Amino acid sequence: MSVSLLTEHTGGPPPGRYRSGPLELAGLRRRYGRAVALDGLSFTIEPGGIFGFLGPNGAGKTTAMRIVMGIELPDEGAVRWGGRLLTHTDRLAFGYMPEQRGLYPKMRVRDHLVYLARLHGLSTRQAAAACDRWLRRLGIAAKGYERVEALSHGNQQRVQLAAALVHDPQVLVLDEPFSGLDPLGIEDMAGVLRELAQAGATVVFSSHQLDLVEDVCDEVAIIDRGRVVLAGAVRALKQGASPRLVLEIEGTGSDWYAGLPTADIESIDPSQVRVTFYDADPQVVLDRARAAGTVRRFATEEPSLSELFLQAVGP
Amino acid sequence: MSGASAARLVAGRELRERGRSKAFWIGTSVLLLGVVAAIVVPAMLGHHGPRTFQVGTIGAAPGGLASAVISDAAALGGKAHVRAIGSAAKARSALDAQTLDLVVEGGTAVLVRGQNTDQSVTDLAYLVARDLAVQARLQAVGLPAGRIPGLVRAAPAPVRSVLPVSPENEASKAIVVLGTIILYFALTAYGGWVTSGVLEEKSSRVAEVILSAVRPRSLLAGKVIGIGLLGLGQFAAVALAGAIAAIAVGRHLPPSTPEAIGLIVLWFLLGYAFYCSAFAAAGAASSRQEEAPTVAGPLTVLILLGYLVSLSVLSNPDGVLARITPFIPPLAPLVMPTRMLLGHPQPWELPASVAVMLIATYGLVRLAGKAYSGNILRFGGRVTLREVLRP
Repeated sequence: MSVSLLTEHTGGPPPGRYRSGPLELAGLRRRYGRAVALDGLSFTIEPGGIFGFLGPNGAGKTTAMRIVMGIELPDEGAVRWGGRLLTHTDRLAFGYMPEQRGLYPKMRVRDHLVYLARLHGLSTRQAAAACDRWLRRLGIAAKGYERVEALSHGNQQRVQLAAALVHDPQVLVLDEPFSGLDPLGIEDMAGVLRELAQAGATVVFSSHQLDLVEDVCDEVAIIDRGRVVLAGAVRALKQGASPRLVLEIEGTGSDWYAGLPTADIESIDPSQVRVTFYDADPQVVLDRARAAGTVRRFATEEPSLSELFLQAVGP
Repeated sequence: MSGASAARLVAGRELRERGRSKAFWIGTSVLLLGVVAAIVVPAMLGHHGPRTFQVGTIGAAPGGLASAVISDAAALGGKAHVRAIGSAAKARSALDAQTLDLVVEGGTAVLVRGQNTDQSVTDLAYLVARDLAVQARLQAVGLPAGRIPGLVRAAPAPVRSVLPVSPENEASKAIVVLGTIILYFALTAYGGWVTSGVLEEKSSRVAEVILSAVRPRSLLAGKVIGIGLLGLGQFAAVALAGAIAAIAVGRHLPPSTPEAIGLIVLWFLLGYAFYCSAFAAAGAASSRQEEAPTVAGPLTVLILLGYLVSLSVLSNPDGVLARITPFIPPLAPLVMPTRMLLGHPQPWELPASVAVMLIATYGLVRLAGKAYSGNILRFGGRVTLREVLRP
């Protein structure tokens, strides 16, 4: 007779821990000499979802995240958490993965993670337990007694993530967590973030690869040159934008779409073209196309985040 | 979590990780072996107790020469063994090989080795030379040969020291010399550890992870305290090993030994406190390991300068340098133990120089702490001194 006790929690975020308020960036400004990194950046991140902080390289994402983590100071503006100004002590409940990854190369994985957890205020016992839980969750439980420098690149990335998670932060701030990951790694990382968000943590990450991460985010703030150009729930942003019409037709004549707002025309083979329209009436497009030739495919597609971004920043 | 408990955790990590490293244990072993060797080897080679001068004679020695030499040697606190040598060439090679200390040549001249001749041998040579001259004079005035040796053998009038050289203060001088050398190595080595430790955190970029939880000043304080404690531990081990070795070889430990060790530990702590933040700032201002020694260079030169000054203070512990340099903070740690133990300082000198040291340390820690915080997360390109000093 075997009795299994499944009460023990074996990996991942601890249940019933997360109850934080929104994280609010209010009017952040930061210059480096004459270069403006942040130009009145404001947005609010609600707990319980994954928030994507997106924008091209050099838009100010890292500066903003460093300000949230207290590593840099803004020239103006403030960061609030649950309605109060964020303090150093509050930040002990934050987890951070900087864009430039870094760990002590000679330290053993477990020692390293326990040390970081202790720095965030956990007792030695709590730290050891949390460390083991996350090592299991991230599939590197066997690597606990190896030196960081001896691990493969992929496992070092996992340890780096564990370093941000080991103290079970209420708020998780990740700078470009997906860069350098293979598709499987992206899937893994997204899965962990999803679990944390579902458990109630506030999860925010930055990325310059808008389309790569759009499926991961619930909400986004897309910034350019230090200010927000587009923000909101991904679904609402996409539904709010006019859909993209894609039509594939046999026949290469171009008279039929003259005067319609086309975005892109591309030939699929000598006898077929694919025409993409924005802001066009689907009925009109379809009627004209059917009159001109045989329609092979006709679809309305939601625009990608990068298309929305390009529309938002202008021509 | 308070800054103090964060600093304690950081210091704990330094102690654990460094204490575990092979480099630390190799360094400690080398240091211990060096100190034990410095005590044991001279004891095994050196002469102990009253010295016996080896004296040779060539040709006809004047009557009573041997007894005159023996009484001269006795005046210098030693004994003499006088024997005839067959030829001048033999005598020369014996002097060269240091089997003879001096040679009396035909009752008219005294030969010594010259190079590396011991002060006491030179002293004996002058006394013997004087005896020969007096003997010749007495003979010339026609004194009967039988009376001369008795006159010459008369012991010289005693020379008394105001500050007598005793085994006691000879031993404390040895302790000061050894202690200052260790102090010099300790400040340079632990300073180097601080620089490379800070730079390791900067160049491996782990600093950004740590600083998201810990304030820069806690990280800095923890690091230098951890390394300082490890240094003190090494120091204690060295002092203990040195004391055991000294007792084992039958060296006399003067009653001032605890005071000497206490002073050296005090000035190690003061010196380390003074220099460590500057070494940390040097680490933060570098961006690559190869660059760190250059950036920290001025600091190691200052410590070396302090050591060189201490050598001059050793030979003149109440001189002008000995009285001024304890109030120049970068030099004081290496100079003050020598001044205190071998010189005759006024009672106010120690507290005053400690006070000056503490004030200077406070100022430097503030300045270097600012430079450290400003640079630890800054990458690319060397940071200029002007930028470091910029408010």
